[in-house]
Amino acid sequence: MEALALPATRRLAMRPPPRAALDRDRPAAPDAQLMAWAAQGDRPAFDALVGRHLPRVLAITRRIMGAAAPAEDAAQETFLRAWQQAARFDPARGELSAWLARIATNIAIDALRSQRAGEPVEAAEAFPSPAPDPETGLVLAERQAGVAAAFAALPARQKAALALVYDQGLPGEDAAEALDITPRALEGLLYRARRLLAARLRGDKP
Amino acid sequence: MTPARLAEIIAAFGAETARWPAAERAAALALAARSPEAAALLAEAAAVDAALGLTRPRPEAERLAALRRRIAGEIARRPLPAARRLGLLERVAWLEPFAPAGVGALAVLVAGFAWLFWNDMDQELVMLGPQALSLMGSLL
Repeated sequence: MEALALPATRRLAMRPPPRAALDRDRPAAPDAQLMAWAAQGDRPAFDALVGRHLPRVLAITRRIMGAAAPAEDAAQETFLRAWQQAARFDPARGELSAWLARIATNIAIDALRSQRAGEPVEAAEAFPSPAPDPETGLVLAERQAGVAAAFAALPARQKAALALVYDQGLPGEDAAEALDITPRALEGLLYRARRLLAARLRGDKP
Repeated sequence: MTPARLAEIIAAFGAETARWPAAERAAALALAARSPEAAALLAEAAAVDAALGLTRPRPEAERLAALRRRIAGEIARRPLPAARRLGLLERVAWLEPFAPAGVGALAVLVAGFAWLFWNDMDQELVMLGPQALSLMGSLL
Protein backbone atom coordinates (compact mmCIF):
# COMPACT_ATOMS: atom_id res chain seq x y z
CA MET A 1 0.00 0.00 0.00
CA GLU A 2 2.81 2.32 0.91
CA ALA A 3 4.52 1.73 -2.42
CA LEU A 4 1.32 2.53 -4.30
CA ALA A 5 1.25 5.97 -2.71
CA LEU A 6 4.53 6.84 -4.42
CA PRO A 7 4.67 8.48 -7.86
CA ALA A 8 4.96 6.15 -10.84
CA THR A 9 8.60 7.05 -11.44
CA ARG A 10 9.52 6.10 -7.86
CA ARG A 11 7.59 2.83 -8.12
CA LEU A 12 9.51 2.04 -11.33
CA ALA A 13 12.74 2.94 -9.58
CA MET A 14 11.95 0.51 -6.75
CA ARG A 15 11.05 -2.31 -9.13
CA PRO A 16 13.48 -5.24 -8.71
CA PRO A 17 15.86 -5.56 -11.66
CA PRO A 18 15.26 -8.36 -14.18
CA ARG A 19 17.32 -11.54 -13.82
CA ALA A 20 19.51 -10.61 -16.83
CA ALA A 21 20.52 -7.39 -15.07
CA LEU A 22 21.65 -9.35 -12.01
CA ASP A 23 24.07 -11.41 -14.11
CA ARG A 24 25.83 -8.41 -15.62
CA ASP A 25 29.60 -8.18 -15.17
CA ARG A 26 29.73 -4.45 -14.63
CA PRO A 27 33.36 -4.06 -13.51
CA ALA A 28 34.56 -5.70 -16.73
CA ALA A 29 32.09 -4.04 -19.09
CA PRO A 30 33.35 -1.26 -21.38
CA ASP A 31 32.00 2.27 -20.97
CA ALA A 32 29.65 2.05 -23.95
CA GLN A 33 28.03 -1.12 -22.58
CA LEU A 34 27.63 0.40 -19.12
CA MET A 35 26.01 3.48 -20.63
CA ALA A 36 23.62 1.31 -22.65
CA TRP A 37 22.62 -0.49 -19.44
CA ALA A 38 22.34 2.82 -17.60
CA ALA A 39 20.02 4.10 -20.33
CA GLN A 40 17.75 1.16 -19.47
CA GLY A 41 17.70 2.25 -15.83
CA ASP A 42 20.58 0.13 -14.47
CA ARG A 43 21.77 2.24 -11.54
CA PRO A 44 24.66 -0.08 -10.48
CA ALA A 45 26.01 0.16 -14.05
CA PHE A 46 25.92 3.92 -13.81
CA ASP A 47 27.61 3.81 -10.40
CA ALA A 48 30.44 1.79 -11.98
CA LEU A 49 30.82 4.58 -14.55
CA VAL A 50 30.87 7.19 -11.79
CA GLY A 51 33.66 5.25 -10.08
CA ARG A 52 35.68 5.21 -13.29
CA HIS A 53 35.23 8.80 -14.40
CA LEU A 54 34.68 10.81 -11.22
CA PRO A 55 38.39 11.60 -10.64
CA ARG A 56 38.75 13.08 -14.14
CA VAL A 57 35.47 14.97 -13.99
CA LEU A 58 36.26 16.40 -10.57
CA ALA A 59 39.75 17.38 -11.71
CA ILE A 60 38.20 19.35 -14.59
CA THR A 61 35.60 21.14 -12.50
CA ARG A 62 38.11 21.87 -9.74
CA ARG A 63 40.66 23.25 -12.19
CA ILE A 64 38.04 25.58 -13.65
CA MET A 65 36.29 26.55 -10.40
CA GLY A 66 39.20 26.47 -7.94
CA ALA A 67 37.34 25.87 -4.71
CA ALA A 68 36.52 22.30 -3.69
CA ALA A 69 32.85 22.54 -2.68
CA PRO A 70 31.46 24.19 -5.85
CA ALA A 71 33.67 21.93 -7.96
CA GLU A 72 32.13 18.87 -6.27
CA ASP A 73 28.65 20.27 -6.85
CA ALA A 74 29.51 20.75 -10.53
CA ALA A 75 30.90 17.21 -10.78
CA GLN A 76 27.71 15.84 -9.20
CA GLU A 77 25.58 17.87 -11.61
CA THR A 78 27.65 16.46 -14.50
CA PHE A 79 26.75 12.89 -13.55
CA LEU A 80 23.11 13.69 -12.85
CA ARG A 81 22.85 15.19 -16.32
CA ALA A 82 24.68 12.20 -17.83
CA TRP A 83 22.22 9.85 -16.08
CA GLN A 84 19.21 11.75 -17.38
CA GLN A 85 20.64 11.87 -20.93
CA ALA A 86 22.21 8.39 -20.92
CA ALA A 87 20.13 7.31 -23.93
CA ARG A 88 21.55 10.19 -25.95
CA PHE A 89 25.14 9.01 -25.64
CA ASP A 90 26.32 7.60 -28.96
CA PRO A 91 29.63 5.67 -28.72
CA ALA A 92 30.07 6.01 -32.49
CA ARG A 93 30.52 9.75 -32.03
CA GLY A 94 33.28 9.61 -29.43
CA GLU A 95 34.52 8.35 -26.09
CA LEU A 96 32.44 8.66 -22.94
CA SER A 97 35.29 10.52 -21.24
CA ALA A 98 35.15 13.24 -23.92
CA TRP A 99 31.34 13.44 -23.58
CA LEU A 100 31.59 13.81 -19.81
CA ALA A 101 34.42 16.34 -20.16
CA ARG A 102 32.19 18.44 -22.39
CA ILE A 103 29.29 18.36 -19.91
CA ALA A 104 31.57 19.07 -16.95
CA THR A 105 33.28 21.96 -18.72
CA ASN A 106 30.01 23.61 -19.67
CA ILE A 107 28.56 23.23 -16.17
CA ALA A 108 31.70 24.58 -14.49
CA ILE A 109 32.01 27.55 -16.86
CA ASP A 110 28.32 28.42 -16.45
CA ALA A 111 28.56 28.12 -12.66
CA LEU A 112 31.65 30.33 -12.57
CA ARG A 113 30.01 32.95 -14.76
CA SER A 114 26.79 32.94 -12.78
CA GLN A 115 28.60 33.97 -9.60
CA ARG A 116 27.36 37.47 -9.02
CA ALA A 117 29.77 40.35 -9.36
CA GLY A 118 31.00 41.38 -5.94
CA GLU A 119 30.12 38.07 -4.37
CA PRO A 120 33.14 36.84 -2.42
CA VAL A 121 34.66 33.98 -4.34
CA GLU A 122 36.11 31.15 -2.30
CA ALA A 123 39.85 31.11 -2.83
CA ALA A 124 41.43 28.30 -4.78
CA GLU A 125 42.52 25.70 -2.29
CA ALA A 126 46.07 24.45 -2.30
CA PHE A 127 46.63 20.85 -3.25
CA PRO A 128 48.90 18.77 -1.10
CA SER A 129 52.26 18.07 -2.69
CA PRO A 130 55.31 16.33 -1.26
CA ALA A 131 58.24 18.56 -0.29
CA PRO A 132 61.74 17.08 0.23
CA ASP A 133 62.90 19.60 2.88
CA PRO A 134 61.53 22.76 4.54
CA GLU A 135 63.56 25.23 2.44
CA THR A 136 62.71 23.61 -0.90
CA GLY A 137 59.17 23.21 0.32
CA LEU A 138 58.94 26.94 0.99
CA VAL A 139 60.21 27.83 -2.48
CA LEU A 140 57.84 25.34 -4.05
CA ALA A 141 54.93 26.59 -1.98
CA GLU A 142 55.64 30.20 -2.98
CA ARG A 143 55.86 29.30 -6.63
CA GLN A 144 52.77 27.15 -6.37
CA ALA A 145 50.85 29.97 -4.70
CA GLY A 146 51.96 32.43 -7.38
CA VAL A 147 50.94 30.15 -10.23
CA ALA A 148 47.70 29.23 -8.46
CA ALA A 149 46.86 32.92 -8.09
CA ALA A 150 47.69 33.57 -11.73
CA PHE A 151 45.62 30.56 -12.74
CA ALA A 152 42.67 31.73 -10.63
CA ALA A 153 42.75 35.06 -12.44
CA LEU A 154 42.40 33.46 -15.89
CA PRO A 155 39.06 33.66 -17.73
CA ALA A 156 36.92 30.53 -17.34
CA ARG A 157 37.40 29.33 -20.92
CA GLN A 158 41.18 29.62 -20.71
CA LYS A 159 41.12 27.57 -17.52
CA ALA A 160 38.92 25.02 -19.23
CA ALA A 161 41.26 24.81 -22.23
CA LEU A 162 44.24 24.18 -19.93
CA ALA A 163 42.29 21.63 -17.88
CA LEU A 164 41.29 19.64 -20.96
CA VAL A 165 44.60 19.74 -22.85
CA TYR A 166 47.16 19.70 -20.02
CA ASP A 167 45.47 17.87 -17.17
CA GLN A 168 43.31 15.47 -19.15
CA GLY A 169 45.54 15.07 -22.19
CA LEU A 170 42.69 15.48 -24.64
CA PRO A 171 43.77 15.94 -28.28
CA GLY A 172 43.25 19.49 -29.53
CA GLU A 173 40.29 18.51 -31.71
CA ASP A 174 38.47 16.85 -28.79
CA ALA A 175 39.18 19.74 -26.44
CA ALA A 176 37.97 22.22 -29.05
CA GLU A 177 34.79 20.20 -29.53
CA ALA A 178 34.20 20.10 -25.77
CA LEU A 179 34.44 23.88 -25.70
CA ASP A 180 32.40 24.21 -28.90
CA ILE A 181 35.14 26.18 -30.67
CA THR A 182 37.54 25.59 -33.57
CA PRO A 183 40.98 24.05 -32.99
CA ARG A 184 42.49 27.40 -34.00
CA ALA A 185 40.42 29.22 -31.35
CA LEU A 186 41.55 26.64 -28.79
CA GLU A 187 45.17 27.44 -29.64
CA GLY A 188 44.38 31.09 -29.00
CA LEU A 189 42.97 30.31 -25.54
CA LEU A 190 45.97 28.17 -24.65
CA TYR A 191 48.42 30.74 -25.96
CA ARG A 192 46.92 33.59 -23.93
CA ALA A 193 46.70 31.51 -20.75
CA ARG A 194 50.27 30.27 -21.02
CA ARG A 195 51.60 33.73 -21.81
CA LEU A 196 50.08 35.08 -18.59
CA LEU A 197 51.41 32.18 -16.53
CA ALA A 198 54.88 32.55 -18.08
CA ALA A 199 54.87 36.25 -17.19
CA ARG A 200 53.99 35.44 -13.57
CA LEU A 201 56.75 32.84 -13.44
CA ARG A 202 59.26 35.44 -14.63
CA GLY A 203 58.10 37.65 -11.78
CA ASP A 204 56.20 40.18 -13.89
CA LYS A 205 53.51 42.06 -11.98
CA PRO A 206 49.92 41.25 -13.00
CA MET B 1 56.40 23.76 -41.08
CA THR B 2 57.78 27.25 -40.62
CA PRO B 3 59.65 28.60 -37.59
CA ALA B 4 56.68 30.90 -36.91
CA ARG B 5 54.23 27.99 -36.86
CA LEU B 6 56.53 25.97 -34.62
CA ALA B 7 56.67 28.91 -32.20
CA GLU B 8 52.85 29.04 -32.19
CA ILE B 9 52.61 25.33 -31.43
CA ILE B 10 55.08 25.55 -28.55
CA ALA B 11 53.40 28.69 -27.18
CA ALA B 12 49.99 26.97 -27.16
CA PHE B 13 50.74 23.32 -26.38
CA GLY B 14 53.97 23.57 -24.42
CA ALA B 15 57.13 21.49 -24.49
CA GLU B 16 55.46 18.08 -24.16
CA THR B 17 55.44 16.99 -27.80
CA ALA B 18 52.71 14.39 -27.25
CA ARG B 19 50.29 17.33 -26.88
CA TRP B 20 51.25 18.88 -30.21
CA PRO B 21 48.70 18.55 -33.04
CA ALA B 22 49.12 15.06 -34.48
CA ALA B 23 48.98 16.24 -38.10
CA GLU B 24 51.92 18.64 -37.61
CA ARG B 25 53.90 16.79 -34.96
CA ALA B 26 56.46 15.06 -37.19
CA ALA B 27 57.32 18.21 -39.15
CA ALA B 28 57.44 20.30 -35.97
CA LEU B 29 59.75 17.80 -34.27
CA ALA B 30 62.08 17.77 -37.27
CA LEU B 31 62.30 21.55 -37.30
CA ALA B 32 62.68 21.77 -33.49
CA ALA B 33 65.63 19.36 -33.62
CA ARG B 34 67.71 21.70 -35.81
CA SER B 35 66.55 25.09 -34.52
CA PRO B 36 68.42 26.85 -31.66
CA GLU B 37 65.52 29.32 -31.30
CA ALA B 38 63.13 26.41 -30.79
CA ALA B 39 65.35 25.07 -27.99
CA ALA B 40 64.97 28.35 -26.08
CA LEU B 41 61.21 28.37 -26.61
CA LEU B 42 60.97 24.77 -25.45
CA ALA B 43 62.92 25.56 -22.26
CA GLU B 44 60.56 28.41 -21.38
CA ALA B 45 57.52 26.29 -22.22
CA ALA B 46 58.82 23.46 -20.02
CA ALA B 47 58.89 25.85 -17.04
CA VAL B 48 55.22 26.70 -17.60
CA ASP B 49 54.40 23.00 -18.00
CA ALA B 50 56.10 22.27 -14.68
CA ALA B 51 54.19 25.09 -12.95
CA LEU B 52 50.92 23.76 -14.35
CA GLY B 53 51.85 20.31 -13.08
CA LEU B 54 52.47 21.70 -9.59
CA THR B 55 48.97 23.11 -9.38
CA ARG B 56 47.19 20.20 -11.06
CA PRO B 57 44.17 19.13 -8.98
CA ARG B 58 44.59 15.73 -7.39
CA PRO B 59 41.35 15.05 -5.53
CA GLU B 60 41.81 13.09 -2.32
CA ALA B 61 40.53 9.52 -2.15
CA GLU B 62 38.22 10.21 0.82
CA ARG B 63 36.55 13.16 -0.90
CA LEU B 64 36.12 11.12 -4.07
CA ALA B 65 34.52 8.25 -2.14
CA ALA B 66 32.18 10.63 -0.29
CA LEU B 67 31.19 12.34 -3.53
CA ARG B 68 30.56 9.01 -5.24
CA ARG B 69 28.20 8.01 -2.41
CA ARG B 70 26.47 11.39 -2.67
CA ILE B 71 25.94 10.96 -6.41
CA ALA B 72 24.64 7.39 -5.96
CA GLY B 73 22.13 8.63 -3.38
CA GLU B 74 20.96 11.38 -5.70
CA ILE B 75 20.68 9.00 -8.67
CA ALA B 76 18.56 6.64 -6.54
CA ARG B 77 16.05 9.45 -6.03
CA ARG B 78 16.00 10.50 -9.68
CA PRO B 79 13.63 9.09 -12.31
CA LEU B 80 14.92 6.70 -14.93
CA PRO B 81 16.79 8.19 -17.90
CA ALA B 82 14.65 9.80 -20.56
CA ALA B 83 14.09 7.55 -23.58
CA ARG B 84 15.74 8.74 -26.75
CA ARG B 85 13.34 10.16 -29.33
CA LEU B 86 13.76 8.35 -32.62
CA GLY B 87 14.30 10.25 -35.85
CA LEU B 88 12.24 9.51 -38.97
CA LEU B 89 14.90 7.24 -40.51
CA GLU B 90 15.24 5.25 -37.27
CA ARG B 91 11.47 4.83 -37.04
CA VAL B 92 11.32 3.18 -40.48
CA ALA B 93 14.55 1.23 -40.00
CA TRP B 94 12.54 -2.00 -39.64
CA LEU B 95 11.62 -1.67 -43.34
CA GLU B 96 15.28 -1.97 -44.38
CA PRO B 97 15.13 -5.72 -45.30
CA PHE B 98 12.33 -4.94 -47.73
CA ALA B 99 14.32 -2.21 -49.48
CA PRO B 100 15.34 -4.31 -52.56
CA ALA B 101 11.76 -5.42 -53.13
CA GLY B 102 10.57 -1.86 -52.69
CA VAL B 103 13.10 -0.50 -55.17
CA GLY B 104 12.08 -3.21 -57.66
CA ALA B 105 8.39 -2.40 -57.26
CA LEU B 106 9.12 1.28 -57.72
CA ALA B 107 11.10 0.58 -60.91
CA VAL B 108 8.23 -1.51 -62.35
CA LEU B 109 5.78 1.26 -61.46
CA VAL B 110 7.91 3.93 -63.16
CA ALA B 111 8.37 1.74 -66.24
CA GLY B 112 4.60 1.15 -66.41
CA PHE B 113 3.80 4.84 -66.21
CA ALA B 114 6.44 5.61 -68.84
CA TRP B 115 5.03 2.98 -71.20
CA LEU B 116 1.48 4.32 -70.75
CA PHE B 117 2.64 7.90 -71.30
CA TRP B 118 4.55 7.19 -74.52
CA ASN B 119 1.82 4.90 -75.79
CA ASP B 120 -0.75 7.69 -75.36
CA MET B 121 1.54 10.15 -77.14
CA ASP B 122 1.87 7.79 -80.13
CA GLN B 123 -1.90 7.25 -80.32
CA GLU B 124 -2.55 11.01 -80.16
CA LEU B 125 -0.11 11.55 -83.04
CA VAL B 126 -1.80 8.79 -85.06
CA MET B 127 -5.23 10.29 -84.42
CA LEU B 128 -4.08 13.83 -85.14
CA GLY B 129 -2.38 12.94 -88.44
CA PRO B 130 -5.55 12.41 -90.63
CA GLN B 131 -7.32 15.33 -88.93
CA ALA B 132 -4.45 17.66 -89.79
CA LEU B 133 -4.44 16.47 -93.40
CA SER B 134 -8.19 17.04 -93.81
CA LEU B 135 -7.84 20.49 -92.22
CA MET B 136 -5.09 21.39 -94.66
CA GLY B 137 -7.21 20.12 -97.58
CA SER B 138 -10.19 22.21 -96.59
CA LEU B 139 -8.00 25.27 -96.41
CA LEU B 140 -6.66 24.70 -99.86
